Amino acid sequence: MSTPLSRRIFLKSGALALASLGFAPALGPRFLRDVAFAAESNRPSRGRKVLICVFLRGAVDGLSVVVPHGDAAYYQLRRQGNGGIALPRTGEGAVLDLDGTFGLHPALRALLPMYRSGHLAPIHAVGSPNPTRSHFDAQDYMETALPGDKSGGDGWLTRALANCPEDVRKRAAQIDKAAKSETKEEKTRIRAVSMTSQLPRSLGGDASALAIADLGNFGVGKGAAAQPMNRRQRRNAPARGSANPTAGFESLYSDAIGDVLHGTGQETFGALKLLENLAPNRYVPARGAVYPRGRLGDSLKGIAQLIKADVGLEIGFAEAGGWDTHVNQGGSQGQLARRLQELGDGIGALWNDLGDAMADVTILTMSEFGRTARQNGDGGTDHGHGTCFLALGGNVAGGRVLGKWPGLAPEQLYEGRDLSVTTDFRSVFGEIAARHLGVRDLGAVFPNFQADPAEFRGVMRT
Amino acid sequence: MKLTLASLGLALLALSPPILAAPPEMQVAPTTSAQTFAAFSRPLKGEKRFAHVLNRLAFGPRPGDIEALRQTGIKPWIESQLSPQAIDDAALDRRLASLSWLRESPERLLLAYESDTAAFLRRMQKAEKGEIAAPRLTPAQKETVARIEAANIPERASIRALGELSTDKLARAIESNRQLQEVLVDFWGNHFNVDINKGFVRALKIRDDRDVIRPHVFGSFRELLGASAHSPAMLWYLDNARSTREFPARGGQKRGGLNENYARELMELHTLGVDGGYTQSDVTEVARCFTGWSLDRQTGTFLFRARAHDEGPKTVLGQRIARGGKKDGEKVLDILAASPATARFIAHKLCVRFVADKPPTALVERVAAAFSRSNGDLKTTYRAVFEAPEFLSEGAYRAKIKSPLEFTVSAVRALGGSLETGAANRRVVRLLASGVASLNRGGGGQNRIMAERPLAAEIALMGQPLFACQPPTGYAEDSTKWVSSSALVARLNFALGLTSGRVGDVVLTRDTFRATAIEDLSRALLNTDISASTRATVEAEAQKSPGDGARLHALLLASPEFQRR
Repeated sequence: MSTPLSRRIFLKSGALALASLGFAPALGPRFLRDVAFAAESNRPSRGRKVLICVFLRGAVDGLSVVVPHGDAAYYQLRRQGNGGIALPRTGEGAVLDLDGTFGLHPALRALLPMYRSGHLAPIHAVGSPNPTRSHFDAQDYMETALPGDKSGGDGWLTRALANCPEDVRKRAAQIDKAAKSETKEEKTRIRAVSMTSQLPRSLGGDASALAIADLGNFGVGKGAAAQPMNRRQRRNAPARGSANPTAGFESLYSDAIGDVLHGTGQETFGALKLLENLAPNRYVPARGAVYPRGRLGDSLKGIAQLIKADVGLEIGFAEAGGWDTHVNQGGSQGQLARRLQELGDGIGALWNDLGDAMADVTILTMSEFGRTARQNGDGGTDHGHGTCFLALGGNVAGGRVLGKWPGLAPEQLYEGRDLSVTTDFRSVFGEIAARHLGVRDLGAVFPNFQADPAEFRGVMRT
Repeated sequence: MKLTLASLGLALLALSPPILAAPPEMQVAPTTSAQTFAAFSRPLKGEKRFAHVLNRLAFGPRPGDIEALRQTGIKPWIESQLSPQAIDDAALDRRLASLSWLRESPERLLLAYESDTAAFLRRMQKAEKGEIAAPRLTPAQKETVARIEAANIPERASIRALGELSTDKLARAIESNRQLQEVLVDFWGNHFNVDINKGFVRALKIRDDRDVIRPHVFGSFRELLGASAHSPAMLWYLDNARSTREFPARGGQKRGGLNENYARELMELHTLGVDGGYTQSDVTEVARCFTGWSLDRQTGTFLFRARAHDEGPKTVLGQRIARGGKKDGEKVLDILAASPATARFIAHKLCVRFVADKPPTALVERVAAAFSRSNGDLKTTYRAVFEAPEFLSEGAYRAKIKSPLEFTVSAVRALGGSLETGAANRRVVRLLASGVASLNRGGGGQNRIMAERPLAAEIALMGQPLFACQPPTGYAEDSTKWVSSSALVARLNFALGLTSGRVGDVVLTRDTFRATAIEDLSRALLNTDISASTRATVEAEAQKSPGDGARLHALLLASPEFQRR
């Protein structure tokens, strides 16, 4: 990998540790290039930029998210009505027309205002250059942004964070300071959080990224575990209520030994302190926003709360499953419609809840591949190729459907069955990394890929 | 700009040598430095040796285990663990006999899975109530429906079966006297990883554990490899079941075709290792050799589909393989099992598991040689690791961070606890059904319902849900990869939960937390090897809340020392 060092080593241990690892000389050229780039940072933002990724695991049917109702072949590949999965152009359950050719799935009604105000940009026919139709391979490839590479690299978000201009500047400053062996305590921040119980591959390789399945339970001795269970135990443990439950634990890890366990311990207690007063269970979203019940709604609500709490968040990650609709996918109602409803309502609630803060936020939905253009014998769709991403945010150049439409005629389909890929997903990731997060050295984030700004689809305003 | 660049570059050049020469202020993770290397040649002495052996070849000491090991002696104890049939485990076996799904035929396990997942069944039921239009079922689907109905399978049976497997694994890890066997089943089950979230694997993992991994961990590597290659769970997980030769196109439609997934992982992950000297052409050729290795989707057993097999000549790693039918695949396994690259790859992985994250090269070479000399006899190979001076050295002592399984199980063992195997199963079922153990990866499960989490859920929260590692790599053996903030929080909360009786299926005796004297605590949980800061913390807390034995135990279980093995 191009950046073999975790950010933590840079930030927490400073340049001395860096140098003693023997990496500093090898870092030279890229480091210098980064510094040069950082000198002309394009992040004049009022606030910190935040990217929220929503991974739709199981391969969402892009043709149902943004429906090509103006492509005649669409209604040949998919039937309407009884057992059919095509969405009608007009009448009951019709698509929400965007531009005469494409329409939003009616279950995504909550997102229509964002499109109309120019803040939602669907990117169609996006996907991977790798032809795999295996969920776990394709998810890995997307999350590492290394299609076809199974060697287990870091997550793309980890590399993007490590190449943010701020980090690059800090690295320079710390190497500078090392001369006078002056080390300043870095203020703890929570830069990346995933609302999942395990860190997703996208954030792999970053020991400081947090995985928080449930914000209400992230804390030591916060949940049920803190209270003795029965009367006998309560009797035997009298003084517990008064003491700070984390205090003892923190001092166990306070030694600056610098091994991975103590390092993580210090990260963790820093984060716990930041979140101490968050009271997630008493959180009331702003502007009457109502998040849908369930994991996705909870995840987005947690991210909104962390953004508002100003803990330094730059990456939020949420995921939702249930998109692998081989059987009985449904049309304007049914299985897929219910999942889309939850997605649209969740993002809609997040949008309302954050209000003006959305100026600095970009939301990107992604999925490992799309589904067959033709509906199968079970009223569903099988694993396919190209799909559709949604980008939303204050700085998203929306109000139009982006990408190059490959068409659905038989000869236009990938291997005669799937929506072709005309936009490499890395080009979307790259544009957002560059124009939203301010990453300059895209080569470091997307090795083996020429992220050419001329090829960008224009997701972000420049 | 140029000026800045130049001056920075100069500064960097000027800085580097003195910094490199200066004594590092931060101690960098102990890896391959000369100092660490020397530590592998310093033999471990005294008490530490017994604790070390029990932390590596067992899931940590239970009360009295260290004394017993001292009596028996380390070498005889290892020898007895290498022949587990002679170790009495009847009492535990009797308790676990109630887990009846573990003895079911693969056919019934598959049916249970079908009945739990077949969406069309539910549709059909709805259709009968007139809620939606009746679907058109294919004859095959109609037959499946009929078989499910005839088999009289209770609801959620496939999830219950998995809950039983999870209970079985944890109860054996905690209580079995055949500790080394359980450690090795965990190692090889992870080496030949299959993920219960991938379709039929959910049903077939139970047989994979019982018939593929367990019977072969003390045999030869070739037999274990062969069992895995025939495992219906593996055939499904790595897609070989659908890999066929190319059939002539019909109506412009391509039919059948090669799936290289298994062939690649077989070489990369199971045998040669990613740098084991094979090429893309070898991957394709191996895949051709395995065409037709499939499973009967009705009986859930291995099936060789001769029609799907590619009978053309192949070349694998320079060796010709021709027209052998099913034997083509066997020949590939022979070649791979005998390769020196495999010996090194397996030796290295064993050394990482049992010795250190960065084991000494000389040791790996010796273990690889033992593997090769014995034609991959696993007992011989294990002995080469366990009897090596490096194994019982200062360099290996507490050099590994415990995995979530090792940490939780060793904590229960240290407290002399056991696992509830009857009623608790219901909670495990609920856990699996709720998606916390990631059965429905990313699905809409609620995870708040469990005020008392079962042990399996605690393990999942630490990032390594049982049987549910998605990528074919299995969980990394390099223990630094297991540490993250969320995992650490989960470990601390587990220590608190366990000591307040909140881990649903763990049973502790009444007097578990009676001890409050630091010497007693340290002897019981850390084998008297306690750091100054942990001692200071516990002493300070003992003053704040005197008599709170549970809290003091929690602190020691949460200590950095107890995270290591």
